[in-house]
Amino acid sequence: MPRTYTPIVGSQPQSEATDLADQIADLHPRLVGFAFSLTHDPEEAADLAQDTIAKALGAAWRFSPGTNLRAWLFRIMRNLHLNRVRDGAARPRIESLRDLRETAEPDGQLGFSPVEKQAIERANLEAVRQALARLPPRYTAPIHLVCVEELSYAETAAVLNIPVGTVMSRIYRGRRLLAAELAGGWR
Amino acid sequence: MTGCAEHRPFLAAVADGEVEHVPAAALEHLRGCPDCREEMELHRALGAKVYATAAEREPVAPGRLGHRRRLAVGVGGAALMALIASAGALAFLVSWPDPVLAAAAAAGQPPQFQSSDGGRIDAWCEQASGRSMPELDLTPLSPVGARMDHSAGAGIVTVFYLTPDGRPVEVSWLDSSQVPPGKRSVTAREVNGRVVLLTVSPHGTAVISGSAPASVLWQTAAEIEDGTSS
Repeated sequence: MPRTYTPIVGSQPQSEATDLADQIADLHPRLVGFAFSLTHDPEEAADLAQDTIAKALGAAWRFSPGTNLRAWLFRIMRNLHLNRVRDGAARPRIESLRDLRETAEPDGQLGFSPVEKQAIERANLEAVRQALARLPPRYTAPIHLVCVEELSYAETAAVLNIPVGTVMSRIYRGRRLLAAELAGGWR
Repeated sequence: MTGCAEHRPFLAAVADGEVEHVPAAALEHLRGCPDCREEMELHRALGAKVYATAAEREPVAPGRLGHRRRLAVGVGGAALMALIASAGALAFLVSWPDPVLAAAAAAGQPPQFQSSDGGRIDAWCEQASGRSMPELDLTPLSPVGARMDHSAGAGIVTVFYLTPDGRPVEVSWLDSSQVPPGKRSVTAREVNGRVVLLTVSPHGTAVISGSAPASVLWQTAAEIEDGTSS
């Protein structure tokens, strides 16, 4: 059941606070999209997006006008998500063998296989969507921020609180894993 | 080519236009290595498809026409704004039905004129459309025909090409507006499960489609965007 929340907008002037609240509300679909990349669960994603909005409205005074509102919201969401995972509030995600194998696959020595090349070229969007949902969130989160939200690597690094080099390697490895998923399995 | 494994982990960053994080040696290697360039294009194509999965779910707002390639084959981040600012392109964004969809549909039809002579094809196109055709060298693509359609408020001139191994590439010209170098761009859109490339070039706006490999479509778009003359 959807939770309700009361916006608390700190000491900002009413009009500015309302504008910010409107802007935040407008970003709700984008928040759900990023939340899904973190949780891989539609219900959890909706909850996380709503909690993020509530948290952001309560901390609106911390937002600096003129800076990237989306990136600020994504940072809040990422921190909320980590807290939920640590607290066990989120349903535990079953670690699959694939999740475990991703630490070793793919290596950087080989390029895309011929099968993967064909799979990339021929994949329809539903196949891409399903393959993304099978990837570990550590890869889907940066891929979502860069490919969908079009944040830079530096912005993505700030949102996820990881070095730019880690963003780079996770996107590279994530796309390799995505291609492997599209090709129907693992090398 | 030697050294690919060392530089391969940077290909995704190059595909995303994040070249400031890529060592110069990797960029230098990429320039001379067709295998790595092909792999980089596959990363780019995969990124475009990921973008399209989200774009399909939500309405595309102005300025979010498609997966923005920050490298954008030499074009900076202002490319989309430039695209919107371009009068011809603006008409494509606000008109209905969508000329990009119309161009993709036209490209799926058979040629009305068939020839392997690029000059004769250009002459036919100019006569059918009443506008000049760009002199482009899209080697190794071979022209095989053309068609003219009037749809979605645009006169769409489609030139059909084949790759050396016989895979089709279609270039559908929506206009012949002159666009300065700073306003060029290539953006990906998903049409019926396939990625097509909307290219704003010095010679006009074109939609690149076809069942050739994505790397060939991107390369074609890059050459058109670059305005390479024959």
